[in-house]
Amino acid sequence: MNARYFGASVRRNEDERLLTGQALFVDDVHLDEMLHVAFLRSDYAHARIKSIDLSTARSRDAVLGVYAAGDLGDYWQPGPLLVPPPPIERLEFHEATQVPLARDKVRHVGEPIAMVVARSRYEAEDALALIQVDLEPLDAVVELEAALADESPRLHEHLESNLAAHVIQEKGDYSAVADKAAHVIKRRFRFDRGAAAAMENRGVVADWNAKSGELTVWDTTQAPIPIRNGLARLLNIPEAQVRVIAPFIGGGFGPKIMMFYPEEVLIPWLAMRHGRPMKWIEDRQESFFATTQERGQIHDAELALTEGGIILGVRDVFWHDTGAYDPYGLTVPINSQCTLLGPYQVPNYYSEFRSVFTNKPIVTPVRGAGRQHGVFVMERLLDIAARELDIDRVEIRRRNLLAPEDFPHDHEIIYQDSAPLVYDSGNYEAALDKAVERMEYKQFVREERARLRAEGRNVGIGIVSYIEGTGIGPYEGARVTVEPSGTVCLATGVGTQGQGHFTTFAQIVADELGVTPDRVHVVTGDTGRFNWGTGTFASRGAVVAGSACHEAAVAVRAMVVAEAAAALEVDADDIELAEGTARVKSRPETCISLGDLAVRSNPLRGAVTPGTNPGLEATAYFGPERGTTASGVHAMLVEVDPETAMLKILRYLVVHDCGRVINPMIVEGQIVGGVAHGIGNSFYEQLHFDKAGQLLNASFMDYLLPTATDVPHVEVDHVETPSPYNPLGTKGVGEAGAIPVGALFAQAIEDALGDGAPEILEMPLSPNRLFELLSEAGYYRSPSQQE
Amino acid sequence: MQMASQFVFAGSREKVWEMLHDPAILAKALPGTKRLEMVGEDDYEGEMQVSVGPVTAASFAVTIKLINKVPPESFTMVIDGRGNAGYTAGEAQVKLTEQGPEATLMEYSADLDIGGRVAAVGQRLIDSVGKSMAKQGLEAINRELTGPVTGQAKDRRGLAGLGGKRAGAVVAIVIILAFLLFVL
Amino acid sequence: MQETVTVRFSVNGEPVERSVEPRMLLSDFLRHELDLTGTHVGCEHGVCGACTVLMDGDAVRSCLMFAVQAEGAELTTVEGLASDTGEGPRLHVLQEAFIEKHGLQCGFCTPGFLMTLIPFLRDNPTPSETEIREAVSGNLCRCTGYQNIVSAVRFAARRMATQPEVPE
Repeated sequence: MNARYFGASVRRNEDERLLTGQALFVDDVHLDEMLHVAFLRSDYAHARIKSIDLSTARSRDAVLGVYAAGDLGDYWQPGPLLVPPPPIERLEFHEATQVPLARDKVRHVGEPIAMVVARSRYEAEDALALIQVDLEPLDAVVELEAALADESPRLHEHLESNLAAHVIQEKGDYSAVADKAAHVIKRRFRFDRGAAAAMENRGVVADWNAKSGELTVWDTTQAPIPIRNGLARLLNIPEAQVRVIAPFIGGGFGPKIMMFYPEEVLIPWLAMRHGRPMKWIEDRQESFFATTQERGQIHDAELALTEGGIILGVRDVFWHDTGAYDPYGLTVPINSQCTLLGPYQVPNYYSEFRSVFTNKPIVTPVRGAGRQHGVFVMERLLDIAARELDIDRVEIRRRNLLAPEDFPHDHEIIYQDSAPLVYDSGNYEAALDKAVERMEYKQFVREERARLRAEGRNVGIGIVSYIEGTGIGPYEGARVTVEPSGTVCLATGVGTQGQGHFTTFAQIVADELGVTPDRVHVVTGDTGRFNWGTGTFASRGAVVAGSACHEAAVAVRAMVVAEAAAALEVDADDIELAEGTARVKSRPETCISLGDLAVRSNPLRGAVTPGTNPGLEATAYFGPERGTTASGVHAMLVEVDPETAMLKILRYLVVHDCGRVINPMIVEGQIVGGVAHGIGNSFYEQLHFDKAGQLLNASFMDYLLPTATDVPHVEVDHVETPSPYNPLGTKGVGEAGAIPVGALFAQAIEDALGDGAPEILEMPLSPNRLFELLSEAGYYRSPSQQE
Repeated sequence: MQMASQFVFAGSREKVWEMLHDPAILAKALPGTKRLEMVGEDDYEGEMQVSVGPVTAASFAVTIKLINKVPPESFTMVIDGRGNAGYTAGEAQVKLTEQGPEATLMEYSADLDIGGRVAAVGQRLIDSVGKSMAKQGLEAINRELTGPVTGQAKDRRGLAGLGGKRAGAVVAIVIILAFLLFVL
Repeated sequence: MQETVTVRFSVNGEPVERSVEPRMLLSDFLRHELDLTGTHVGCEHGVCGACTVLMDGDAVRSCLMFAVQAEGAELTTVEGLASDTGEGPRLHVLQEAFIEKHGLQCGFCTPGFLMTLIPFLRDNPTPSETEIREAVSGNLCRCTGYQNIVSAVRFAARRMATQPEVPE
């Protein structure tokens, strides 16, 4: 490969459209005769539906239809189980997937009960106010452990309890080593819910053309192809007659890959039924209930070590809150389970979790997808062990890191993609060294911290390691076409939500075909253009789809070279591709443009040789044997004001290893954005539910996203350990920034507070919560605070 | 949510007791009351309808049952209110104490579940707006002790844009709810 | 049907006269009546800033206003930022700076940032990093972590200082 653009910070192809207001987002789709839909959602977390009266709403002039579950006929059915559980022995899984409109019961606040079709959204919402629903409130299931008690109310009548899943994964014999261990650390850790809060809410527009029998759907989804396939099945039309377009998407972060959301099933159905285009756009308030969430877990964890701080084993028993339904299977808790092991040598591991139904919105992956929980537990255990064994925090990590020669490393358990958890490659100590050096960690711990303390400043340092399983299968595909104009068209199935696919994929293809990236026209997320693949999740776009783009470009390159060799009457070996042409290496002036070659390869007369294809076009697929393992170290210096419990981040460093980097500018952007997300999840964002399952802060006035004044400048450095599992050597990066931030905050805050600081065993924090923790721990009464 | 407060009326305890049980007087003191009537011994039913600027009317049904009545000292209200923007259900205790021939102390406390959009976006409003609205309502009743109440115009500016096309109505419901809770 | 009122104002230099329901938000009017879909709606309660447009030169949140409140005003949306050279658009320096410094990812919040920054840079052509961060602290971005937005603003400010002929 001629690596001219691969590895370069090429400016993004997509930016001009976005900056001039010309990029198409779902809510920008305007069609003639379009109708608008609004949903009536439950005010109760748990209630029986006694009656629904739609008659008054139906009588409004502007209203063209009002529907409840009973009006859907056979179309009403629970959604599919999106991710079946991996093949783990003794695994217990109870399926209860979401329904289009609640029929007998509502199971979380915001669950849709009825929908109105009207001439405008305003009029649709007016009519919602006229629907009378008689609900009989039931006690809500909110707390994880209480949910499994015999006397707990039950969400799903067809199940015996609120247990959604019970999974044990084990390697070695933890109990045996714990009995003999010099030290065992035991703690309980809590993680509470957060929202993905993409700036664009969800939306669906559907257009049914009865004459051609074609359904077109614009959807804010991260997985347009599976949506197309599912809709075709549900609506009983051929897949080829359904086109799902995920145009520009205003941020995904995970919840936009959940399927099927009720609205995704219902809007196309309404479009067909009414014979008119149909639009539903989620508003922010709806989004807090109607879009999936993540995070609630409680861990009881133990770490067994030798006197010298070498890990003998880990035991972790945890509860995972899956919300009212479990369509996404076990991806999130298995990520927690597997990521906990981190970059460390853990010879014995016992991990058991129970996934629990609660009367809260559905849980599916959100950036990090449960990985941060595992990282938090492990890093916290190591911090506590370091303190109790009087070993430096960095040193205890160093003693346990996997070494470069340990790869591939088999953890002997099963990952979320159903494959064995095997790390492909890594160089963990190098990243740790880099972070230690750049942060001047030793000097800070030895002198600086005390010096600042003497000035009355509580400044602490944190440094944590993590790994991230990325780039999993099953596969993605791409088609590369050279057009007669010389433009190279690239189509791939994954959707894009801001990751820069229009540019990184173009870079990969540009190098193979000797053109500039801006000559590569990229289409993503339109099933009318490419209809094989899965979607954008698990930090896999650049790894899996990028590799497919590469394979397709390599194939087209071979066709171009063969065609050029024939045209220029030289050996194929003498041809090079550069500047949009194929030319003779020794005589660059003897050349033919890619466009001319495209014309030659698609003649209007004469015969195409049997066994060959016309045109310069190739489609390729890439399916990795297993995922890649990205890794990194985050470090920060933080100043805590104990009086206000406010923080100021003085420095933040990320040393990251995502294998070979296609576009450093874009990779750093992904990392920094992930850190900001992680900062939100660590110190600002928390979804507060009361005992009745009511969400108490469903607006951006009360649910606080970090702003420009809350996020520090983030320094980024790289270690590059190529993955052996794909031709590009890349690993995923989309979620990395967000994963270790909670663990880092906890460690750095404790360090800043010094003696008398409480152990931080929960996330997220907030100034309020930190103040409470400090008060409970008697921090304000401790001698060091009363100088 | 739990709330508690008190208010001193310029009237005898018997007079105050009577007024607090007269739906016609309460209706006049409550903005947007379309109907508030006694449907049985100690059973009240009402309907509030609120229009806020350009936002069309949102309706809100409320039933109140009085129990544990000890005239003219104390009673308990069982409240069930449901509207398109949320609901509330729970109990409130009201206690009247004589402080003089023309002064009565009312102490009230409530423990209520609040749900729906009112709970989701109204948390910060319920408490503060509720308190100030309650004060206005109680003062209106207090004035009734000496002279009749007339309809009050409330300042309803700035209610656009609190989320959703009908957010103005949500805010109005919050205010009405808070008002009900604190006044009744 | 609700009663309607006639509203007149200008958008990106073009006069507009329409009859609208009084309750129609300005953001909805721009997006759905005028098809100026570059103005985005992220929260409809005035926090995220994605819907920011210029009204008589000042940044306002179009989701917090009714269309009728813009009567007589001169509005500018993101579509009006680039100048038309006759041979396609010529980007505003700030737009170019966002490309150069990778100041956007999904691009949904970006129009709001641009429209917030235009009057800011007009009033403060040489801002410090702290001032920039404060200026955009009323705009939410979930993708970038703000870092490259800040870099883009500094870059644009420097360019504007050395190229005074650049259109406002």
